[in-house]
Amino acid sequence: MASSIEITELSKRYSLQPVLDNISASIKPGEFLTLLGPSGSGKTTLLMSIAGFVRPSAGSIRVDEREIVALAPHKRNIGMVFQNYALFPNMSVGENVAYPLKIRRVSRAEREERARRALGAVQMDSFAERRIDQLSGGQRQRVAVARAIVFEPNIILMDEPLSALDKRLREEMQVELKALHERLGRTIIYVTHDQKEALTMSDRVAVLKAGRIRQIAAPRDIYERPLDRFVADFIGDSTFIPVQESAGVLDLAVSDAFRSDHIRRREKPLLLLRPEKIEIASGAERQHGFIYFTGVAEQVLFQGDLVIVYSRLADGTRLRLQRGTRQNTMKDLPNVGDTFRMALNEADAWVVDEVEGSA
Amino acid sequence: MRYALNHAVLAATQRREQRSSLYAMMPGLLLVALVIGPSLWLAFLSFYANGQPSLEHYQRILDNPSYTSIMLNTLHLSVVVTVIVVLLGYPTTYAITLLPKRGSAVALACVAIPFWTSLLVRTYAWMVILQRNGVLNGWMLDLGLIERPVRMANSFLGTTIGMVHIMLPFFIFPLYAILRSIDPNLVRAAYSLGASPSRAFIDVFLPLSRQGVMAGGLLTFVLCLGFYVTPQLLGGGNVTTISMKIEQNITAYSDWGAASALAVVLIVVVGLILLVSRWLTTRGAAWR
Repeated sequence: MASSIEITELSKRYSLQPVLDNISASIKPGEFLTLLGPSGSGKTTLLMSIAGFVRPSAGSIRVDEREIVALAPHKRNIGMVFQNYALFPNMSVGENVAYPLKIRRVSRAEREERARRALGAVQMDSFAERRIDQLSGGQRQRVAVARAIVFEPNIILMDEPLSALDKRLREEMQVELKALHERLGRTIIYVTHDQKEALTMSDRVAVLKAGRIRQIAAPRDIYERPLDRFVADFIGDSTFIPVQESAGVLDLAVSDAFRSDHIRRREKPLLLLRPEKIEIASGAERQHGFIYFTGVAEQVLFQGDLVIVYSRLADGTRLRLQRGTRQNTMKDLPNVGDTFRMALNEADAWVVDEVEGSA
Repeated sequence: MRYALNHAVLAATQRREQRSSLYAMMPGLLLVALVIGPSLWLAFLSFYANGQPSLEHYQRILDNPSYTSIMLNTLHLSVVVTVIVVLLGYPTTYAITLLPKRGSAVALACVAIPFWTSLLVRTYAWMVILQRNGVLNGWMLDLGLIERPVRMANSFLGTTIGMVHIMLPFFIFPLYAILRSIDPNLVRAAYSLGASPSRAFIDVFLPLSRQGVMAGGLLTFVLCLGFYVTPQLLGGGNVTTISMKIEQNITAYSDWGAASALAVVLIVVVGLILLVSRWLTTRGAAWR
């Protein structure tokens, strides 16, 4: 069983400073929602409000239609994985995982069986007798997950659970957690400041800034159709070029004017350029549906799987372009100092507003 | 031969470093000469009587039942004081850790300020409060709680009250350091798993604070064993501890050997207690 969560006009103020500013969101049963934002954006405060460790100043949190905003944390039946895992050092791995069952007065035999199964779900079944200080970071992470799922809560909260792991292990655990989510089908709310992690794992991503949700959407939408400059900047590498708009035609300082239905018109529009969407255009041909501009190559960096070209556009903008390193894409790379042409498919062009968009 | 490259220079650097670490040891050597040396000399004295090597002083301690009862008195007083200090100190310290930052700083200052006040001044203050015509008896009489003054000064009770007051900071400070180091997320984790606040306290917080209680309790207990000023003044002759007996042996009888023997016994007892508690904590660590 998975639960829905309905957050309505949730606010939290410390003295006068709003940490959560009128947040509303509906989370569907079984959804994997990630709260993404820089530090101080309120993502952890929002998670802690759902867990019950932070008392909001106003607003409502309903789980399956039931109001829980004033309920004590231990009565919420919500599993939680903490950033530093918060495993009890005075208990063994097995005792840690069996602890929520012990509190629920589950018989010893059943307790052990269920703890073993939960540890099995994270490939830790052979570690039940270990002490916590004998585990590596990755193993602790798995135990913390097992402890949060063993009592079969309908909602599981995760507060940057992978931030303490090294890159390789983190990527491995992302795949595992996603698989676990699919297998268990529980509602998961996940906090991270790592945009790639958010895109990889989530059904939907909520981008927060200064206590507000700026955009909440599926990973592809949030990456390709960000609502404003902040969201675009926070997710992925972005370069912005000012655009003049008149009569449906967008005029770019560094290129010819172009027209596109995909482009949303804004008050102070900026063209969003992602490094992997830009192509190098050899020759002087002009294809319909492409935006062309020229730049001077400043740096060409080979990274193994990618090659990065930094160039300076006519208006002084520094642009990052990246492409794969197959033989055919390596051929027409510019040398440092060369002036070269670049092309952007109008279908890949997206215009955001300089100022905050309405979410 | 590549091995010889810069070998002489590097070896000289290493020698220089070793020499400078020798200088750093000088204060330590001074400490040995001025503190540990005389103590060893005193211990040595206890095995001499009338210019002859003898165990006479220790024999007397064993034979004379008054020594045994003084020893037991001292232990009794120390145990009672330590237990009360733990029972009063733990909730106090716990409450301090729950206060916001500024509040806990103020609370800790309140613990520390009497700690900086002279021991003698505090003991005399307790004499004023506890004596027959003292402040406390006056209040209790006025309130009608008692009909005639209660004897609190010059007794075991008064000594206990005074010592508890003096010992509390020794317990609160080390315990505070331990309680502060307990990750608050552990208690939150217990809540999220369904534990009520009291259950989380008993299952998680209390076991993790055990080392702090042991450290603070032990410090208190060991200090109590050798305490002199407060039992002497507040006990008013009705409480005799080993330290008082040691003092007596020197000032009244000028018997350095006997005094030293008692001091050695006290040190041995303290050492044994430390060993036992160490054994208890390491056994606890294995259980952790």
